[in-house]
Amino acid sequence: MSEQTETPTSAESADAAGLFDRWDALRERESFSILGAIAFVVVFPMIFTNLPAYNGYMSLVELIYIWAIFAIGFDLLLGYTGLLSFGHAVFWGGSAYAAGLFSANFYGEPLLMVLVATATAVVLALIIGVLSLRRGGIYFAILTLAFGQMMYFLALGPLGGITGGEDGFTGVSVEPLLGVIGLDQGFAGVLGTVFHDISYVLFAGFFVLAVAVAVRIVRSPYGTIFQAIAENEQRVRFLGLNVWRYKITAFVLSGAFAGVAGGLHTIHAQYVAVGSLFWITSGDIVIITVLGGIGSVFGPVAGTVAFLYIENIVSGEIAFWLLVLGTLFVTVVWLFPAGIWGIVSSARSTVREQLSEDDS
Amino acid sequence: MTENNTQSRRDVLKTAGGAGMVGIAGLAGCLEGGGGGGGDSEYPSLGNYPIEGDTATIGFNVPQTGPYQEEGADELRAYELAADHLNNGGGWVDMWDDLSGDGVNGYEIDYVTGDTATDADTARESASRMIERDDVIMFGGGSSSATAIAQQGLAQQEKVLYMCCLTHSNDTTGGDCVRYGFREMFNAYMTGQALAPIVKEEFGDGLDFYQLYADYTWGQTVEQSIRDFFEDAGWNEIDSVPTPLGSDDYSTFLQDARDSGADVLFLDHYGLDGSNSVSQAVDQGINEDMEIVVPLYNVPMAAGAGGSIEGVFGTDGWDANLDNEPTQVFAESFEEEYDSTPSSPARLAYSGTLNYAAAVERAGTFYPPEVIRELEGHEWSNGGIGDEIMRECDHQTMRDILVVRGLSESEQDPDSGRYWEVVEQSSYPDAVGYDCENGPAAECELGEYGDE
Repeated sequence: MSEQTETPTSAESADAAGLFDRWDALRERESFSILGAIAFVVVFPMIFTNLPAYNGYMSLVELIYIWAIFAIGFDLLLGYTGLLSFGHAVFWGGSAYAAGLFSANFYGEPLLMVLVATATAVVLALIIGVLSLRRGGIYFAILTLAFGQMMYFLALGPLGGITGGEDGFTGVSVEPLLGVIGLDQGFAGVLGTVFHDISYVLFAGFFVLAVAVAVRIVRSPYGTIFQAIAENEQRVRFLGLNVWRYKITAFVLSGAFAGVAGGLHTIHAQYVAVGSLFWITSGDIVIITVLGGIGSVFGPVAGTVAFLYIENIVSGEIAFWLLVLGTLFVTVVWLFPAGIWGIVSSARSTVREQLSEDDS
Repeated sequence: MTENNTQSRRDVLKTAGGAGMVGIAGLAGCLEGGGGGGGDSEYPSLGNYPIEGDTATIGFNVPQTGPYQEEGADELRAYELAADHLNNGGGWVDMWDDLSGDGVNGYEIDYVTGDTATDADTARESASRMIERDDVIMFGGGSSSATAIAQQGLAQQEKVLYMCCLTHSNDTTGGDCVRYGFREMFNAYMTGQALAPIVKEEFGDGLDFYQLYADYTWGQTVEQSIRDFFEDAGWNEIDSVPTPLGSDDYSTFLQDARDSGADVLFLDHYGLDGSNSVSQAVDQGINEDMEIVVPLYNVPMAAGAGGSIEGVFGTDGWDANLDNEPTQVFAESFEEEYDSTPSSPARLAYSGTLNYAAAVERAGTFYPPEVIRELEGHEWSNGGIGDEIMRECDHQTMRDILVVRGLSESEQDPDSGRYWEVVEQSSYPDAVGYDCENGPAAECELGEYGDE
């Protein structure tokens, strides 16, 4: 940003207004969001891992991308379509097991693992969606929770022979990318500074892709109808649209995002915990999304950063980290219903007002 | 995963990140140096070896929230005590010849802590932070088998040693065993071995028994080994019924057990489930017509069940009231520091840390493969529970186990953690233990040292 040192003349203020318009036009573009995501994956780790105190580390950056994909997908359902699912751990954990089992029994190529995970999540989402979406509101939330817990107890007990039960699934074996490029292979020179290593590119790449797909969905006419359903379901029905079909689509889409994330998490952790199917995981994703701010693509990302930072960094310093998390959540929800991203947005508009006032 | 370079991925990332901050464009690539040149690097870099600076950091990863937070809190006290003793002397450090009380191998010991939240994923991430950000040379903890197994897997991947704490599952040193993990705690298999002869002697020959077990991995393994060892001893199982994990009402299950006409009831539950099922069994008066056995005891469970555990048999790894010098030395220094009696998980935490440190001293280096070789086959008898051997083939310690019996409410002393009396110290190899080809060890393949 260039600073204006002189008092602005009328010509300059007209220029400034033009600048705002151009800036807005730029911001409205889809490519802007995608470039924003790319800039984020380049800059974020540099700042995050080099904080003077309470600094993060690279695995956590990767974990943030993975959970952010999960959260972005969840927000398509909660923020855009207005459906609160309380059983999304099914797609996260179910796909993670699918990827793990596939790698142990067939082939652990990362992209294939993600593909298998996503396909599994889509199938699960279709089945559970058809069964749960018959009812709305709280009934829907309870139904999804019930299916989630059912899956958890299945994995824990009867299917223990396959899943490893409480011990978790330990047989994950991840092969090189495309069969030849090792995930821990680094880059030299400037590329190393920006891209770190192959596994970073894999997780960051999927994150950028998830942002791009989500932006595409919410900007499409189809995505507009999601939002219309959240606003007023009855009106959409009176328009002659099949609301149920849109809901199941939103549900399956968010399941697919969770599936990509679950598959990536298996690659990241090389282990699948049975807790990944537990209701607490379903609760975590609700908290992350609401904390970050529902109804935007970047809100869930902000929520993921805050949540995982407290869970993994603050927890090592403060035994009462859950209290910190709870306090943050309550404060944000109470003061800024639009979440962390809402704070960012309102700060942005304040700055704009200040700048505009300078002109007058 | 193939290690195709001498420098770990973490070093690359760290230097890359740092370089990014100061804007050095021409960073050395991934095949060139970048890791710190430590003090005694007579060995190649591996995991977090060599140590930079003159402080060796250890990670203590325990449940500070969640169902096992009480065990976790006690473990953490013991871990911090161990670090203090290693630096300044005291406790067992003064009794063990390998340890100086002036740091370890010339390095001062520092530590970082983490919260596993009694959850395997959280435990793994917390350990990951310790390894990657805090550069720990060893980490320990875990208060459930799931968290221990998850952390062990990470230890093997990252080539950073992990000393298990409280984990009772057969799989930890069975099917899921790793080269980079060691366990002093006994397992479900050994619990069955220890209980069978003593309980049989107490209650008689040829009895009928009935089992309720928590329907998840640990409960299933306990159930299996109880059946095996008690049927071998000539008892007869009437039935064995799974109960859902986290039940708070066992009344129907208990009534069925009572109606079966069996003489002895085994409650294979742990933690809150255990205190619930025992209390309810006693409330229903089941202890009047059946004998009750809880295979694995723990303090919070006993505290929850209170007087219900009177006369109930179970096993434990150690007791602060044992009459031997190491036990008294440890219990006294713990009490002096924290004003409470250490529980058996606390001793495991303390012992694991000191055993690691002693192995480093014997090896003369922190280089993990050498430390592992020192630990493998190590025998010691000054840990408060008789002769112990850290076995090479599966990293399971062969050791004695205490068979204990619950005290009545009036005899219990919660302040000093006294809820049961020791009936017998079942000794290895006479009463408990198994060889490398049998039991859980048969399924163990440890994996690589990392210097092959």
